[in-house]
Amino acid sequence: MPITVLNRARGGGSRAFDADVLSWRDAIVANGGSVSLARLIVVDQFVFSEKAAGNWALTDDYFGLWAENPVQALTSLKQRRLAVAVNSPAFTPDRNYTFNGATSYIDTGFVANSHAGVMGVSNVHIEAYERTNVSGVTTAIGVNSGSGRALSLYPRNGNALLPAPNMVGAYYSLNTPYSSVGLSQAGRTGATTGDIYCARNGVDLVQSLAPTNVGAALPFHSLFIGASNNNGTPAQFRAASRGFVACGAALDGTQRLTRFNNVQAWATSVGAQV
Amino acid sequence: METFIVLTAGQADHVRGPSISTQAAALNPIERQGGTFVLGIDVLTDPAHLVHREVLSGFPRLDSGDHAFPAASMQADA
Repeated sequence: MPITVLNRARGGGSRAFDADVLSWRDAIVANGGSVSLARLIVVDQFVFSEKAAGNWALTDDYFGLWAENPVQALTSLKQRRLAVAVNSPAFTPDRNYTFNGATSYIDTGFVANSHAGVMGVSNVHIEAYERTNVSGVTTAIGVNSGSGRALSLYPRNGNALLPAPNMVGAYYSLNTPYSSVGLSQAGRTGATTGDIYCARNGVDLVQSLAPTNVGAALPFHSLFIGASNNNGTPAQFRAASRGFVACGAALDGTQRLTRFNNVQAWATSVGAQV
Repeated sequence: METFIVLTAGQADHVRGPSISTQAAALNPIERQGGTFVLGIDVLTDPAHLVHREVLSGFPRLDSGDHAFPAASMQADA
């Protein structure tokens, strides 16, 4: 179907499909997957909203795991990196990948130290959208190259969210009722342990314990989803369902809330919102 | 309660690696204490790992709640 016709299907708007979205679709097709017109419209709206807010330029990559098929889920939106599903995490169309908490994970192939375009040592943002409420010192997304060089999110351990945005040891108090569900966000905005933020669904949380160590370089192992890549070895497996992941440079408070709204709109469009 | 396939180090080496049929899938048996390795039972129904199905089906299985299920290996903390 011609692009001009597809554009008319989007409520009469004359805006062309975003070139980045079409490139993402082409990468998925090249990888053996597919993207429906309906999903192309949804993702195009997400990218349009991200670019309008200035968030796209601040982000290195996105994974929409609430995809129509595994290849679509595993093909990242911006760098168009094909991640690898290791040990058969369960894919549910339009919802998430579910990890068993012991063996399964996704290797994104994103190595911050060499693949980051906008993320910097002291300029980091990581986030993950969890769809099931799980408590434990286990990682939604994670990589740890030692000496504080960690990009990790523990969405809930008891009453706390534990973020590691290239610094480690921080705790943030969750609001009641305690839950890991939703978009957990964390970032680093400077060189010290005080330069950290953490939010749930775009709303900042209160720090209960300060970080203990900052990374002097970005991690040089690839980022995992559903576990942490601890110096090349998968660990801290998290038995939960996850629909979305992103990473890049730090976002300010307004951008964090806008990001959540954009992500939630994408989730709602495919029926994956929680 | 999850069921897991239990492998020796040599068996783990035999199946470890990228899928030969699906470029975005791989097997990487996870080491547990005592030098044993495990895979989730879901790998048996994953078409990406069809080539290993017969051999994996012949290995012993344990439920995660079984007292004999090996504990997780110690890993460096973040």
